[in-house]
Amino acid sequence: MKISLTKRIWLTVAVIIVIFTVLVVYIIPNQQEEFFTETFNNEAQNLTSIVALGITVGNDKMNYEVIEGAMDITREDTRLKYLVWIDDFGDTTIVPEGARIDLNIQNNDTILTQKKECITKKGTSYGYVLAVFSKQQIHDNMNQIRFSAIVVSVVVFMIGILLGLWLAKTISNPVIAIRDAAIKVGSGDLTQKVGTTGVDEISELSKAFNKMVDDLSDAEVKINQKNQALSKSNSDLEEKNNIISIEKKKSDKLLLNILPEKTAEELKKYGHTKPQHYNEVSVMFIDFAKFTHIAEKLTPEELVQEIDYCFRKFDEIVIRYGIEKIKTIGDAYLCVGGLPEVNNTHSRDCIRAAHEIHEFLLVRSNERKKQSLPFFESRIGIHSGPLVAGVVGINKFAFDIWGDTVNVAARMESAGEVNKINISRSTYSLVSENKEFVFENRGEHMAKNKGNMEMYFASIAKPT
Amino acid sequence: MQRQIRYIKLFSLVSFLMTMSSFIVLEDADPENIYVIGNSSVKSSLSQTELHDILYSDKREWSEGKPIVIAVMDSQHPTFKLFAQDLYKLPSNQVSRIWLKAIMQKKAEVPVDFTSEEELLEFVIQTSGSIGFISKKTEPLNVKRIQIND
Repeated sequence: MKISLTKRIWLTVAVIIVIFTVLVVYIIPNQQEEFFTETFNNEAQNLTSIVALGITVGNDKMNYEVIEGAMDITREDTRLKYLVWIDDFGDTTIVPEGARIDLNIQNNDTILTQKKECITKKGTSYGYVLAVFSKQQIHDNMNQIRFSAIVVSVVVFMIGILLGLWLAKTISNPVIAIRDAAIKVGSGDLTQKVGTTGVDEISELSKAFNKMVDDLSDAEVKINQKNQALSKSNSDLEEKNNIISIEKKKSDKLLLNILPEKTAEELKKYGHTKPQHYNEVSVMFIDFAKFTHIAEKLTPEELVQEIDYCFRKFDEIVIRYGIEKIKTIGDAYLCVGGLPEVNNTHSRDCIRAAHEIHEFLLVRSNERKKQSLPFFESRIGIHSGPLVAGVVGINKFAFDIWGDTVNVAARMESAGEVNKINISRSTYSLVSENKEFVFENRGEHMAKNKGNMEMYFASIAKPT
Repeated sequence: MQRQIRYIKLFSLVSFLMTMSSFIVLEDADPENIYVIGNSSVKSSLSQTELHDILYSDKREWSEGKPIVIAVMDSQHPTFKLFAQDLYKLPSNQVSRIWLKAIMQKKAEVPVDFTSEEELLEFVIQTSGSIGFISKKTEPLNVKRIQIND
């Protein structure tokens, strides 16, 4: 349950007033009454005893000074209604003389009786003394005390209200003001100030709060300045990062131009690459037929431009089929399917790419024919088998492949025909079951340094 | 003449009887063993009633308003017993009780008591308004002896 400071102050004041009132009006008067009654009883008892002693001494020793003193005391005691000495003969002596007495009177709310025998140490009795006192004085005293207590309680109640108002004004209100200001400061308003009149702790708190707000405001200004500086730095840094990023992309692109992505990542991460052995890939050689003859009909610029145009198209095609371009060697274009990411579609990927390259060259040749320009035709050879791939050298390093598979692929190209895809027996065995392709068994043909090798022309089956 | 003689006889008889009766009262009223003495400031004679009132605290002042101071011998002294017997016709303890009640009711002051009659005599001589009681064994010299009569 949330109780506000003001309510707490009022609650505290109220509790104190209630406790004080109960104490003053009920508990203390009751204790006073008990004390008065006990004291009264003792005094009455003592007085009666003195009178009895005086009577005893007066009778026994004929010494009357004790009884005279005792009687002087009794006469001064306004609470004494009457005193009776009933002597050993039954005669009564009443003080004050003529008072109406009741020898059988009992204690009650208004009367206190004390009875004391007048007897010597030797046992001689001279009767007894009966003293009857009025409790009216106690009642009067108690009524006066209660009245005073009520008056005091009312005064305390009024003081309590004033105290509550004063506390609320001097404690609660400033604290509430500080709270409200703190909430606004928390919301970002650092112009908040609270009053600091007085020299008490609340005032010190207010001063401390104002100082805190000032410090916060200064800190905010400094932070804003630093933020602006930092923002500018960030902006500069971001700009530089963008430049770096662009440059990095460029360098990555350049790197990817000469290296497979996986190899490039490995090289960037470790600074070197580990040669990788592949059990089965498909190596594809593309070579322009009659290149020297065509080259003679073109200027070097035109030649390079045409070769560049064709090889760019080859690049697009092989990338689309997931085939890794290795390099160009003069007018030859070397690429491999099945590395660096190993797959089992490399042979048919190569055949499809080869088919598309032929299609491109066909379209291109038709275009150039119309313009009466020389055009390229190609032979493509594909062989499937193991090889090793990796990067060698420090400067102008390049991703390359080694192995007999490369040589055999070159033999397939050289033993092929224009606009034909010549594949080896090993490649054929990988795609022979694929209905997408049509094969023409060429039988065995001589391959340089390899002897006779079984070869097939592969083509895309025409849709029925 | 005879009537005159008769008057003279009757007067003489009455005078005789009065004289005789006064002798009889005086003998009865005067304490047998006690002298009643008083300060020079008090009157020389007291009636039986006055003495009774003084002894029973009914009279506490002389006629001119001076307080009556009673001087007695100590209760243990033989004279006190004689005093009780002669003046109260009571045992001394009963006299004591009478005084006690009177003091309780503020009807009497505490009597001044002495252990020697000479001291009592001296006190009465010196104290204005005082009245004292001594045995007849002591000669009341230099002090007023109060006659008790009816």
